[in-house]
Amino acid sequence: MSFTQIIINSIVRASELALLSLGLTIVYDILGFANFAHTEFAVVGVYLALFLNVSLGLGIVPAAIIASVLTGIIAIFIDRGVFKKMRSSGGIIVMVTSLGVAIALRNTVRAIWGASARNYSVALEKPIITPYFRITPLQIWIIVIGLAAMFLFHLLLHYTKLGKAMRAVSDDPELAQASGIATESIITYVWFIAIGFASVGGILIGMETYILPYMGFAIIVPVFCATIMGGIGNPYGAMLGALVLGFAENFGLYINFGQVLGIEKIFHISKGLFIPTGYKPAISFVILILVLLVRPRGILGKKKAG
Amino acid sequence: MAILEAENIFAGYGKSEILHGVSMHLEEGEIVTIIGPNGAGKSTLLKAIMGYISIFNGIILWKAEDITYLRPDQKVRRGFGYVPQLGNVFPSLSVRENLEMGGFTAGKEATERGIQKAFELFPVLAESAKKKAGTLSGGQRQMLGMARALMTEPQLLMLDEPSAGLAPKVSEQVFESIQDIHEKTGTGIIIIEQDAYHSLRISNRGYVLVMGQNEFEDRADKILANEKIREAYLGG
Ligand SMILES: Nc1ncnc2c1ncn2[C@@H]1O[C@H](COP(=O)(O)OP(=O)(O)O)[C@@H](O)[C@H]1O
Ligand SMILES: [Mg+2]
Repeated sequence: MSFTQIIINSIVRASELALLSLGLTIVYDILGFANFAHTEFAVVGVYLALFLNVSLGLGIVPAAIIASVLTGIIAIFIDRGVFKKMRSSGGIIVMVTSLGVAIALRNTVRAIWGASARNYSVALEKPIITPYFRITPLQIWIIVIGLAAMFLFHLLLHYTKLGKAMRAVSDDPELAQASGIATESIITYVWFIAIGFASVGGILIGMETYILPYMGFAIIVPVFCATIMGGIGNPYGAMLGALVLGFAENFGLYINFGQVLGIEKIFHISKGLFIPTGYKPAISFVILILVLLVRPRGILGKKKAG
Repeated sequence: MAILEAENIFAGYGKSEILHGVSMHLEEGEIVTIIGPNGAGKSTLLKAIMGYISIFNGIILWKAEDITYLRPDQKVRRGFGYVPQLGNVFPSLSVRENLEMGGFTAGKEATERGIQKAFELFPVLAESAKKKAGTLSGGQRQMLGMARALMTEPQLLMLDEPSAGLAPKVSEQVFESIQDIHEKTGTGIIIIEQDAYHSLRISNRGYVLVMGQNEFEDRADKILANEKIREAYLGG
């Protein structure tokens, strides 16, 4: 695989991860707990889009938009019905609750749509092939949507009243209330935005590969690693973490460690020393641990006041 | 008639009761100081009035309306302003954004006007409008905290130890600002103070709170002249 190709694959992966890690990080920031159901919510969006697209015959774009809005609304209801009751018990309790919600969501999806792999009904588009790399129109879309999401997020946080209020609640929820901000209504928006973005990310992954009830479980590790690595609670950290992880996952498999470490000659490893493909999921963990060793709060992690 | 009346308030954190039947009131446009030893429950009283903690018994009336169980943000919409002792600004927001948050419940134009007024009242804030509030000095933070709370043009401003941790000169400035605010806006003010000389001097009345109960109340000038109170609570 060419160098350019690995870079492109890395950026595609980073875009997908960013769509998911952004939501995870703002829920942590505003609600104070690591939501283990985050990627399972995304899967709900994936299957709702499948239903709209395959069963109802909608185009994939309207299907994805409607599904993501619906999933955001479902998240609000689950928050009101489940998480809200646990809030006063503290972050650990809510986190454990989210594990339960994750299992419930995953099995509900499986019960409704079955366990076999599915695909959206989209016309297969010809990839663009150059001497250096190939890229599909979908991959271009993934990069564009990922970048747009990050830009929108930045605009939201710094140029809208809602975004500034979100930052205010993150800084100091009590002072936010003293400013007339109803924290519960901010929480509602946060769920909608976080899970809406996650759903879009999930649908794009589903389009690029295939759809499975377990895909949320498959992606939770890299999403959490990206979020924690960047500094959990910081949206820019989540973006950066996604980028680092996208590159690490893709480059990790192609680095000849025999050459890098200069031990090729000693051990006579003629084919080079590579990380076996089966270990790809472990790359996230290793990178995360390396980053946390140097910066225990993540790359852009801040010490939370109070 | 009193604009704010807190009657026989029992309140605390979780199940632990800190206030055991405290009463106080505020006339419209009045300045009242609450003094008392550390841990007496002064901050707790403000948090109870503002709606942050559970009230076990008692009633809080605002313009004769029962508002005992309203949330803080609902009270802000009714004309309450509150500057806590710690965490009186949003540190990662700019000075300007802090003021914008203060105007969260007001319209866009009212907020713009409010920010201009705040900059006139505290020129130092205009100079550092784009700075993060977390980088301000203690005195500047206190000014910003008050300016933030004033954005809604409240009729009640509650200040929890506005001069705590400030150098004497800065503390002097803060009290001048409070007086200035009072003259310009006519808002009623409740001040909590450890070092209460300054505060009582600009107040109409004062309360002494001890161990979660009313110990004493009187006109501010009389409290300042009272030998016993001076000795016990004002450091002689
Ligand atoms: N968040 C809290 N949780 C539990 N107890 C608290 C909390 N804040 C204050 N207290 C307790 O309430 C009592 C009164 O505190 P406070 O109202 O802060 O006193 P003051 O402001 O008069 O110094 C103290 O005994 C203190 O330990
Ligand atoms: Mg106090």
